[in-house]
Order: sequence, then structure tokens, then C-alpha cells
Amino acid sequence: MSDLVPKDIPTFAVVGKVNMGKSSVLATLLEVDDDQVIRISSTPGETTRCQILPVEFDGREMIRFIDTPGFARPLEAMRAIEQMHADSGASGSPGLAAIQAFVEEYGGTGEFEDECQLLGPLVDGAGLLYIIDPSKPLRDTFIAEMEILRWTGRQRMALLNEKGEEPEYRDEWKNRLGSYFNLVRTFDAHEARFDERRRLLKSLLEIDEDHRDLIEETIVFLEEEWTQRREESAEAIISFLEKGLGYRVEKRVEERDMEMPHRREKLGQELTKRYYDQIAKMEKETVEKVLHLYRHHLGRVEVTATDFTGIDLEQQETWQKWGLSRSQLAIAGGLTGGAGGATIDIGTGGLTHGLGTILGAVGGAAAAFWKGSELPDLALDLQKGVKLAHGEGTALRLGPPKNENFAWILLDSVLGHYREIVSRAHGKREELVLGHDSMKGGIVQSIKGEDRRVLQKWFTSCAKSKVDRSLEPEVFTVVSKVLADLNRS
Amino acid sequence: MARAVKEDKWTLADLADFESVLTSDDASRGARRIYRETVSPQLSSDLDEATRRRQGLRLWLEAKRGDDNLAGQKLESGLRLAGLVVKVLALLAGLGIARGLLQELPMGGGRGYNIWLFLGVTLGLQWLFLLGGGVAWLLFRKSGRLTWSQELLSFLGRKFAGSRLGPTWSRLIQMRSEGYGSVLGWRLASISQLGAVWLGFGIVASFIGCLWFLKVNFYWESTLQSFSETQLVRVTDGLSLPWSWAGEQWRPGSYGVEQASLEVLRDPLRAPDPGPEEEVNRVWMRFLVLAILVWGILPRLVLYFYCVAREKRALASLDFQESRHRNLWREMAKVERTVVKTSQADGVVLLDVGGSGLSVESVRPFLLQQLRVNPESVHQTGVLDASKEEAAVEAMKQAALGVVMAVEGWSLSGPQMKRNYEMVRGVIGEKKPIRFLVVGTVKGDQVTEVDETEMAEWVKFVDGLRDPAVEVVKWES
Ligand SMILES: Nc1nc2c(ncn2[C@@H]2O[C@H](COP(=O)(O)OP(=O)(O)OP(=O)(O)O)[C@@H](O)[C@H]2O)c(=O)[nH]1
Ligand SMILES: [Mg+2]
Repeated sequence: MSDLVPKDIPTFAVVGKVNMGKSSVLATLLEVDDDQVIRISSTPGETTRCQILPVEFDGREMIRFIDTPGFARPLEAMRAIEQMHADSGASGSPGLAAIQAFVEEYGGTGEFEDECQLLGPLVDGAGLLYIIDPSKPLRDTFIAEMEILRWTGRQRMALLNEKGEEPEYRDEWKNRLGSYFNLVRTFDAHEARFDERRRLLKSLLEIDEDHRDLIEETIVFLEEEWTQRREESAEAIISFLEKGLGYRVEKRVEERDMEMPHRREKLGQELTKRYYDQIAKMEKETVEKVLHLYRHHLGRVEVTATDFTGIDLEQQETWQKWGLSRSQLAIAGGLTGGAGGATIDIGTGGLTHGLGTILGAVGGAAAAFWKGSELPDLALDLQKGVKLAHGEGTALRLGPPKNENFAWILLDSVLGHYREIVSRAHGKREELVLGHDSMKGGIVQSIKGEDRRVLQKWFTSCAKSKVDRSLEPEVFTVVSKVLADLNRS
Repeated sequence: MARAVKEDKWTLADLADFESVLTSDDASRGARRIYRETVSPQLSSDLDEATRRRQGLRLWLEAKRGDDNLAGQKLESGLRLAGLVVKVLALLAGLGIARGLLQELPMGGGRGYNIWLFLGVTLGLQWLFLLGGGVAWLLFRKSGRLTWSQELLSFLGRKFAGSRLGPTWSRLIQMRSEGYGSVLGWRLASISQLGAVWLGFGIVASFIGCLWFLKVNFYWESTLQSFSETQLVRVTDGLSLPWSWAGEQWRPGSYGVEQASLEVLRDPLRAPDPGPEEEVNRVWMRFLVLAILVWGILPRLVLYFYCVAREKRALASLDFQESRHRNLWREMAKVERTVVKTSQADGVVLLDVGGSGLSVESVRPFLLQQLRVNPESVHQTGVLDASKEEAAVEAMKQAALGVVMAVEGWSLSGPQMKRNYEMVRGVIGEKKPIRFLVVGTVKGDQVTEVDETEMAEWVKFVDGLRDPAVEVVKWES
């Protein structure tokens, strides 16, 4: 036994021809998107040496994978091994001894350097995962590789890393692999989600009986970790909604600023922009947190105020794409407060004028303030007669939008980001851009009616800044259920 | 630890301690250590997740709460005091009610109890409240609202427990176990049931006292159909159903009702012999005492025990699903994947000698495939800008597999190149390899191969260095 393959830790070498996606498979399986750790590129020969990739929990190594350079000259290597086997006077086909002799003979000479590198761990006792790309034709060089691997006598599993859909030679490969390997599985390094990763780890149980306990424990840990991440994401999403819906922009203005129509309009735009800037910032932070939880470093979140100001909440199209439809919202109990202005407390002593007053056009101070279409989408709370440095003025508080679909839109967009994040494989190396433009929305529409009602009730309480804490456990359950569904689909 | 408790069972006082520990800023400090050292070893692995969490948090509390944490004690004593106040008030009210119901007989000549009124006030009203409360509970238990009596008790208890307990108290009121309601809510409900029991005791005590010391008659009068004689017979028969086997002296029956009618009592022609009258009064007394015991106190006792049982159930099924609980539990129980950053250790610095502007991309495949090294960075030397040299030196110190010096074929000038080589050797030490990568010329992204004569010169130069860790390689496209 060597340092490379410890006796008490299940160890698997990932082997195959160059550029088949060996490193990508490992990067996805082990959730490494850092190119400093696992280098992936279209250049054949990117992996030049054996690289140990341990799975550790709380500092204890549980499983070890070894990334290897690909086969460079399998045919010649095969012949050399056969030759050495024949020279040693043994009969039958070569075995582990011949491979060992080959590695000893050529190791460090520069001849068959890659083959020696990749066979090293196998000689030392590692199990092996043979990666192939079934869109490539099955040529003799592959047969040579498989032959050599069979001679090692190690437990071995073949993985078809399907790079595109419907690879041309899949069936041919499958037939052939069956006779060389204990197990044949598919694993798409660019698409595999948690379920597929877990399945792959479970398959390891079949090729390594000796370390069953450690492998099983690892799977349990990974499952727990996965649940934990989901719960923490749910927590982050809930706290985003609570903060976002409860957020208000505030400004105190002098009386004369309110008298000029163009100043009023400018003020309205400025405050609306400030409001949405902050919402966008909160969403960005939330999504970044989720990215971090799922160990993604190549994600960039692009959410800006324009993503929100660009949405016309009253438009039918908006309702189809984002959030709930009008009738769904009504059933969830969202269209309660008459014109949808339920988020505002009306009538705190005649000083505060809620939206209801404005729409009622009772001629309150606020109605005079922003007329008709000038009126911002945001709920407005206005208090006259506050003390300013010079005389009296008016205090304005804006937000959230009067339209109750807004909460659902916020939820929809973070769920959309979440879906992209959990379905993103770590083996991909291009940047993952998370924005509103590319997002489809509509996830909240699949939430069940009863759950929607719970959420709506809670949203309303958040928008009033009187968060109903007793609903929290239920809200958490609902959100984590949705996240679990997104993990699966 | 002074407390002798079963360490995996929760009590209301524990919950109060738990919540008050959680309100402090450093609540989750050391959670992982506590979990590993004391909690986890005591948790058996075949428990379901909910039980694990319940017991785990209980064990955590045991390790975490100091002896100076008095929240639980304060809560209990607040509740005890509130209960005491309620009991005393209820007892007094009971005494007052029974005494207040004893009124002058309408025709004079002593005092008496109006049976309809007595039953109505002592039992009827109570049952009205009870049914109203029951309906309210059915309607609102989901929303977690308290009934008025719970609200009152909560107010008292909170006052008595002291203001420091305020936040903990509110949390406990809101905290509920899935399907079993709030623990504190049930406790308040059971206290209020006990209050009602004491109300009953008060009534019975004062009732018996009045009968003992005073001459008391029982009567009824009515002009209303619904409070007629037949109705009263029906009501008394109904009420005495549970003890109907006990014989005539325990229930008035139609004879007793008739004898207690105000008309009969008023009748001046009645026999002056008080014997039968006394007997009827005694029957009424026995009946009414039993009625209050059975219909007033017993249901309350039953409810009391029900509330106590529900409190136990709620405690046993606490799910700790509120976000602060989940956060703590996650903090404690999470297994953490250790991020291990390994690398292939095949990095080299590509040193562009003379500043040809060679890009990494143009030679990278060659270096990877032929030399099996990875150019991590490119730096320049032998250029006018001296600061570039410094950056190169720093990078070379880090490179695992030494330096690749990229040179253009035509640029060989022995002494100059030797100095370059010595500089690199000085930086990276004796052992690490240096490779001369000879290209033709570099024009932007275009790189050409070196011709044979120039290459031969380079081979000769490198041989002359007499350094086993130096190689010369011809770049091929
Ligand atoms: N579309 C697609 N491309 C993939 C997939 N797996 C790998 N690739 C690409 O294939 C190329 C080679 O991937 P690597 O993981 O570096 O392959 P390797 O087997 O480690 O290659 P060497 O280290 O050079 O032997 C990269 O450009 C990957 O992005 C896949 O599942 N789908
Ligand atoms: Mg690789």
C-alpha cells in the first residue's frame, strides 16, 4: 500500500482516454467549481498528474478519488505489457503482476509516463471508474484501454459521460463495456444533479464491498448536508421576503417641494428608484448566499432596480409570467383590501393618509400630492407637520407596491434563481449569470392552494411590518417543500 | 447539576429556560462542541429526526443553562401566584354568589333560594361560558389565540413572573407543537379550570353554611311557560339522572317541586306541622349540592385533567420548528464537509525572455501535452520596465515545477542568456527544473517554429551550462 491508496479508506481512480471528461465528472461529483483545484479544459492532456481528491467530513477522510492523466498510448502500452508477461514465462493473459512490472519498468523513464501515472493507484489497490464519451466511435485504442484495465483485476465501473443528447454510439459502447466492467452507469458531468450524484456514490458500494460502512456513512452525510443547505436556503429566502416586504424608503421634504408638480414627480421617481435599488440589493445578497451554500463560486447575480421598475404590475402579461394569476391571488386571499391597498393602515388620526384615502379621492394631503398617473406604484404613507431644520415639512414613507402580486414576484424570482443554482453542475466552467431576463418565472403557480393561503397571510403580515411569527414554522415548511420539488424536477 | 430531572423530558420550566437562553446573544456559542461532547453520545441513533431534535435540544439545555438561569422558576412561581389569586378570587366569588342568591321570601317570613335562579346562576351561566369557550376554542385553536380566561391568567402570570421574563413569555405563548397547541396555553387553561373548581367549592361551602346557620326555604315561582312546574320537574330529573339510583331523598321529583312552589308555600291553609316541609328542604339541599358537585365541579375537574394531559402531550411532541430553534439545531448537529484544496502541483512560470509578448495560450497545449507542465502565469524579463522583473521573481518562487524560459531562436547572445539563466537559478534554487522553450519568432498571436540551425546553437548553449536540471525544447505547433 502506498500513500496514494490508504488501506482503510475507499479509494477510486478515475481513468480513461484524454478529454473524455474525467476531471469534469469528479468536479461535478465533488462539487468543485474552482479551476485552481480541478482543472478542466478542452485541451487534451489538461490533467498531467495523479491528483488526490478526498471527501472529508469534520476533518475525517471518508472517500478518496484520484484524478489521473488520460491514456496517451494505450495500444503500445498494451503490447508492452503483453510482451513483459510473455517474457516472464507466464501463460494465459497478463494480470496484476504484469501491470506492476510494467509500472516499475517504465515509471520515471518518460516512456509511457501517463500510463504509469494512471496505473499506479490501480496497482496500489484502488477501484476504478472508467470514463468514456459515447458520442465517440469505439476504436481499437479503447479496446486496448479496457483490456489493460481488466488485467489489473480491480473492481471497475464504467461511466458513460454523455456530452450531448442521444450519443451516436451509445448502444455499441454499452454492449462492449458490459463484458469488461462489473458495472456500467451513465453520468452526465454537465447535467448531473444531486440525485444522480448520490446514485453514483451508491454504485460505489457495489464495486467496493470492503469499505461499505464508510461509503454508506458518506452518503448519509451528503444527504444531511443537502437537506441542511435546502433548509438554510429556505431560511435565507424567508428572511429576504420578510425584510423586503417590510422595507420602506423614507424622506422628509419641505413644504415648498411638494407644491411644484415637476418636483413632486422627480421626488416620486427618485424614491421609487431608491426603494427598488434596495430590494434588488436584498435579492442579490440572498441569491449570493444560496450560491455560497451550494458551493458555487462562478455565479454572478445581476439584479437591478430596473428589473422591478420594468415590471408593470398591472399588466396581464406580468401576471402570466410572474407571481400568481389574478384568480389564484384572489383565492389565496390576496385581493382582500378592495383595490389591493390592504397593506396600508388607514386613519391614524387624520395625519396619516393611506392609499385607501388617496384612491377614494377624499382630498387628503396625499391625494393632492401625487395626482392620477403620477402616483407611484408604491404604497404611500404621508405625515404632514413634521419638524425640519427650517420650519415644517412632510414625512414620506414608500413601499411596498400596493399590488399584492409583488410578494409573489419576489418569491418567484428567488425560486427561479434557486432552481438554476441547484441544477448547475460544478463541472461546468463558464460563468453562471443569474438575472431576471433569462428567467421563466411561474414557479409559485405550482404551489398548492392551501400553502399559498399560508404564504399570502404571512406576506400580508410582513407588508404591514407586523410579521406573524406564529406562521413561521408553516411558512418554512411550505418554502422548503417548494425547494425540495425544485431539487427534483 | 442540582436539578434531578430526566434529561430527555421537557417541562414548561425547561422551555422557559430554553427560550431565555436563546434570547441571549451568544446562545449558539459552543453549540457544536456541546453537541459532540455531551449531546451526541447520549442520543441513540435509531431515533426519528423529531425525537432526536427534541432530546438533543434538551441535552443541550442541560449543558448550557447555568444554575443562575431562573427563567423557569420565575415562570412557575408567576403561574403559581396567578393561580392562587384566581383560586382565592373564585372562592370568594363562589361564597358571594351563594350568599347573594339567598333572598327574602316574597311573602316574608324568612329567607329562601329561588331554585330557578340558583340553578341558572350556578350551573346555567357556567355551562354557557363553557360551551361558548369550547366553540371559541374549536374556531380559534388554529390561530393560536387565547381565550379571555387564558388571556387574563397570562396577564397576571406575566406580571407576577417579572418583566425580565417578558420576551420569553411571549415566545412561549406563540410556540406550539404541531397538532397539540401551546404548552403554556394548556397550562393557563388548566389553571383556569382549577379556578372554576374553586368557584364551585365556594358556592357549595357558602350554600351549606347558609343552610346551617339560617332558616332557609326553597321555592320557585313563575308565570312563564318555560319555567313552569313541569319544566322544573324535567330539569331536576335530568340533573339527578346520574344519581337516580340513590333514592327519593336525593332528588326532589314532582312532589318536591310541587311542595316548593310559591303558591303552596304561601297557602295559609297548609298544615302547621313543619315536618314534611323540613324534609322537602333537606331533599332540595342534597339535590342542589350534588348538582353543583356533579355538574359544576366534576366537569371542571375532568377538563382540568384533560388540560394537564394535553400539556404533557404538547411537551412530548414539541417539534422545535421555529426559525431560532432550527438555526440552533443546525448549528449543533451539522456535519461539515471539509474543503480540501489539493492541486496537481504541475505549475510552472512561463518566462518571456526579452519581452516578445508571447501569450500563454499559444504555448499552453504544447507545454501540457509534451512537457506535462501547466503554465500558471507568464512574466517578462530582460525588458526596460524593472518592476516586471520583481513580479516575475515572486511568481517563480511559487512555481512547483520551476520555470520555462521562452526564447526566440534568433535572440541567443551567450553572456546575456547565461545571466538570465543564473538569475532564475538563483531564485528557484538548485533542484527545480529550468526548461528553455525555443520558438522562431513571436508576432502577436502568431508563433513560428525555430529553424534547425538556430536550434542547434541553443542546444550547444544549454549543454555548456552543465546543469542536469536544465533542458532545451523545441516548440512545435
Ligand atoms: N457538453 C459536455 N461537455 C463536457 C462534459 N464533460 C466534459 N465536457 C468537456 O470536455 C472537455 C474535457 O473535459 P475534462 O474534464 O478536462 O476531460 P479529462 O478527461 O479530464 O481530460 P484530460 O485531463 O485532458 O485527460 C472539457 O472542455 C469539458 O468542458 C459533458 O458532460 N458535456
Ligand atoms: Mg482531466
